[in-house]
Amino acid sequence: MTRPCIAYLLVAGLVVLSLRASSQTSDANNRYRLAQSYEQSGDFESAIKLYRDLASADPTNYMFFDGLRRSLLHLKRYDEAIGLIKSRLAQSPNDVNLLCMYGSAYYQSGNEKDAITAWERAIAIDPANQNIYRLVANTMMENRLLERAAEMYRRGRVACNDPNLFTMELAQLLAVTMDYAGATQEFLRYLSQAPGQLGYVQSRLAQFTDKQEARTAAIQVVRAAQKSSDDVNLHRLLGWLLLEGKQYDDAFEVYKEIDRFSNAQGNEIFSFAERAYKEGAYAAAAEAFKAAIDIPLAPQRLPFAKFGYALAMKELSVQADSSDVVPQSGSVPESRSRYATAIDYFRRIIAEYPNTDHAARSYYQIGTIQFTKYFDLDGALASFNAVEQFVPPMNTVLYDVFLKTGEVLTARGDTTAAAGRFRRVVAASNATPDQQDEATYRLAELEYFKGNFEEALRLLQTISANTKADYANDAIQLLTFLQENSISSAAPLKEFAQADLLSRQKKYSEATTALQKLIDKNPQALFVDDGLMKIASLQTSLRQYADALATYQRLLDQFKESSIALDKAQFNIAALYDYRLNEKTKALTAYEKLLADYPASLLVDQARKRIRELRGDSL
Amino acid sequence: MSMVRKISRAAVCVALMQFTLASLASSQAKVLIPMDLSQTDHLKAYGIAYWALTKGIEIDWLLNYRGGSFMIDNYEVVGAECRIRGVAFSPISSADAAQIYAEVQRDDNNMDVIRLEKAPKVAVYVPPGFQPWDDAVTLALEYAEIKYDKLWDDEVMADKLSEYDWLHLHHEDFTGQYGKFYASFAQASWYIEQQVTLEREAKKLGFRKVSELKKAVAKKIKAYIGSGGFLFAMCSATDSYDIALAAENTDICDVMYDGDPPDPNAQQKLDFSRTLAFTNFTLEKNPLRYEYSDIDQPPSDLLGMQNPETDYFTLFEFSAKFDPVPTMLTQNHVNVLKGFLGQTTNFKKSLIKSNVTIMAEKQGMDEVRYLHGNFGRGTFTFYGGHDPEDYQHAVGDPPTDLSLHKNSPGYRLILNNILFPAAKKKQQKT
Repeated sequence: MTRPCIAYLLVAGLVVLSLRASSQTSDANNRYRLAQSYEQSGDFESAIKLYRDLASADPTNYMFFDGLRRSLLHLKRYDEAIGLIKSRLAQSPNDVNLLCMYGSAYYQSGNEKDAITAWERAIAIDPANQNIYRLVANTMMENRLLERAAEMYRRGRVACNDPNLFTMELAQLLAVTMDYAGATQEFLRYLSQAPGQLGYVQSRLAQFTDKQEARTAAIQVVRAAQKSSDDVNLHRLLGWLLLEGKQYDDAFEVYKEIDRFSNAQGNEIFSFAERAYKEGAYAAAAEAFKAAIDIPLAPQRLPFAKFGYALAMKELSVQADSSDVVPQSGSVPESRSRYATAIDYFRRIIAEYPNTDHAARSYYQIGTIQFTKYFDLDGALASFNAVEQFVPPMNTVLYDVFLKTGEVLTARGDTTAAAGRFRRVVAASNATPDQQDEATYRLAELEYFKGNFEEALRLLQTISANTKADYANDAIQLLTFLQENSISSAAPLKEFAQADLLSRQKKYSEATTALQKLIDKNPQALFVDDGLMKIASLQTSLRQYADALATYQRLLDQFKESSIALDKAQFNIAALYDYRLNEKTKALTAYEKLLADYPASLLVDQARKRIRELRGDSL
Repeated sequence: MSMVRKISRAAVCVALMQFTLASLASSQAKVLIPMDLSQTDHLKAYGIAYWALTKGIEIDWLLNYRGGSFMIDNYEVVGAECRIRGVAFSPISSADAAQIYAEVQRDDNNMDVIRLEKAPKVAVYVPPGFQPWDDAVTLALEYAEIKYDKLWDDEVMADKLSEYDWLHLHHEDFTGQYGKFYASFAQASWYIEQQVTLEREAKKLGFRKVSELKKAVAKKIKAYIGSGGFLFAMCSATDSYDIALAAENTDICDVMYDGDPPDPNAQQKLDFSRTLAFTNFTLEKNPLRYEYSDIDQPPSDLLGMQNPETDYFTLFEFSAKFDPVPTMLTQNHVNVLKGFLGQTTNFKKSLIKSNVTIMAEKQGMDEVRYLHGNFGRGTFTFYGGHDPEDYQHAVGDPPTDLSLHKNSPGYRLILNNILFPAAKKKQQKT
């Protein structure tokens, strides 16, 4: 045979062998794909058969082995799966992945002891290898052994001599297992490694800090950490946690520390004060504003802090003022001193920052207190006028001042000047719709007081058309009253309106007398029931409770079923006994009478609630 | 534990005469709490009935009379309490009361009188802690001011159920698949926390898996019914409960629920002889589908196609004198009710056991809304849907304010069940 011929035969032989080997590989691949298809379709028996054949033919192939393992586990044939893994382990005794699978198969079979042994074997292969701890912990988590997984991470940390190892893994795991203290410790550990990640840590903690017990645990951990560290991040975290829990007093102490540590010159305290004020924690806000002022805060922020302090003091005074009886003109209110601190402070702001926005707002606040709390009309007017002196036109603060000034002028009887103020608000192109509605309503009231009922009705209709307006209800109420009475009793209605104005001017005794005379003179007028209701209300303001009770009773007796105010009168009787005279048994009886006599009243829900409170029911 | 008995017609007449005479003798007037459209607050009316029972005042439930009205002796406190709770009532004379009793007892009227004499002790099976959904029954109980205790796995496994007359199953999954919320809520903190809590509870009580604990709890509840308890379940507590009973000897939970795959032959291994209401159902094996089996109709993933405007179900009418129990459970002021969805909305009729009484269904469909059955000495009632006044109540939605639904016919069905165990046991007519 020639050399070329031999070479040819050799090449041909190699090609045949190669084709045969290729054909075998291709066949194995096809069978593997078929096994996978069986597995995916849930036909695990067929998959096992194919995987087993493939694995026998090629015991070293991991994919064949793993497919067989998975399918056996799917059919809960744990003993076979364990045997399979065991035989593979015999070839690779130090394969950590296999050991993890081995442990899992044991665990799923219900044999926790051997599962732990397998996982311990994996650790023992290289006890200082962090990846092995991670693998084993992950396997434990897959088997829902969360506490054991956490323990494995902790062990790894010690064994690898790295106290910062697995920080975030542990933090997340402990948060999931509701070990909030442990989770917080890990988040703090992370924060010490990455001090710029405070926001991230807060966001992670926020997963559980809405729960009281979790927040308490986190606070305790942060406080404990502070004992051994001056890290300002710890203070910030603690302050944030305390604010989340609305523990304003404690938070304030923390923010003072933060301010000191970070040399913030009161800015941190000021930010805290603003948040506390917005959230209605006025005492803490006042204290914090004061502290920021005393530091002192940078000059550009100082007026804001001072104004904030004065507002907080005013709100504290409002909270302490339980009296809802507005003093009559000229009388000395019992609570006059209650608002003194706030007023003094607003005056200091005016003196320190003259002709500024803060000064204007301070005047407005003082004027409002003088009018609504003291009924000091001259004082209030002086305050409001002062704003008008220096605030430029078109400033929206001015419209609030005009509205209040108009009310004060109305109370003084200067309705022409009052109307002028209200008209300026109505005409202002940049006044808010609410400001304009209020001004229109006040103008309608003035027309009513003057007896110009047609004009009053016209104005009221413009507001009541928009039922979403804040003043729509008031407008509809007055509108209905005027429509009912302006035709049949136009002349007496003018007297009624004048009495109403007296009442607005806090001339309660005069208003009462005028209304009583009017009712006596017009016993058949449609407004008699409204008049009696007003008289009773005035008598209540004058603390003539026995008279008020008698007036309400007169209304009930006289009108029986012909007034829409009967249920309100009965309710007011109950409320007088309840809140003014403190005669709870009589109050209970009166509320019950309301339910019995006026079951369709809108007030029955309130009456029912109050009866149950008085009875001590657990609602 | 009391049960209803039928009084023979003659006995009724004698009793009625004696009762009328006794009433006349004592000049005892009555208070009628109407339950028809004139009632201002149907739900609180049940609360009044329950309150009266707690005060030792017996009540007559006038089945099918003006929507299932209540008649109570006219104690002053009864009227006062009705007013305080906003429940409409009418004081009536002894003579008028006698006339009403006579009308109710007439042979040609499908009405009857059931005496309620003892306030049932009520328990609700509810997990401790926060749940991102509310429960129609606890809302109804609280609105009607009916006292109840909360029980959970510890108490059930410690045999505390025997202390109660009535048990309601909260929206609980007895299959151990955590409501099958995995696909939508696996990352939600409430879901993760719920799973960890339940796993701990299972381990604490000696079970390796939550599904195993739930099966044990389901068996305890079944034993409670068997010994005379009254079970009421809504929404997915109905089918998941029966599925758990059927799956006692197999594993139906996939790997994300219990760490190992389900038994591939789970369907074949279901034992329908163990269930209360359903049979021959097919499990939903897809762990990511929000559905347990084919019992639920329409399936949860087709709920979006439902039109609330055309979704109604109809209450069946039963013979008050011969079938007092389903009659009590279906007392209402309307007989066609608005539908409402739930994880389990309606039950496929063809999968309901033949010995179960169907009390309401979606007409023209193979869908049952409300069913009742007996097991041993007790009974069970299943009611599909989640919240009768919120058509599609989603996870995280705020609870329904029942003061806005005082006359809810759907909620009335729940409260009928509360009074049912209070009924005086009547002798069966022979």
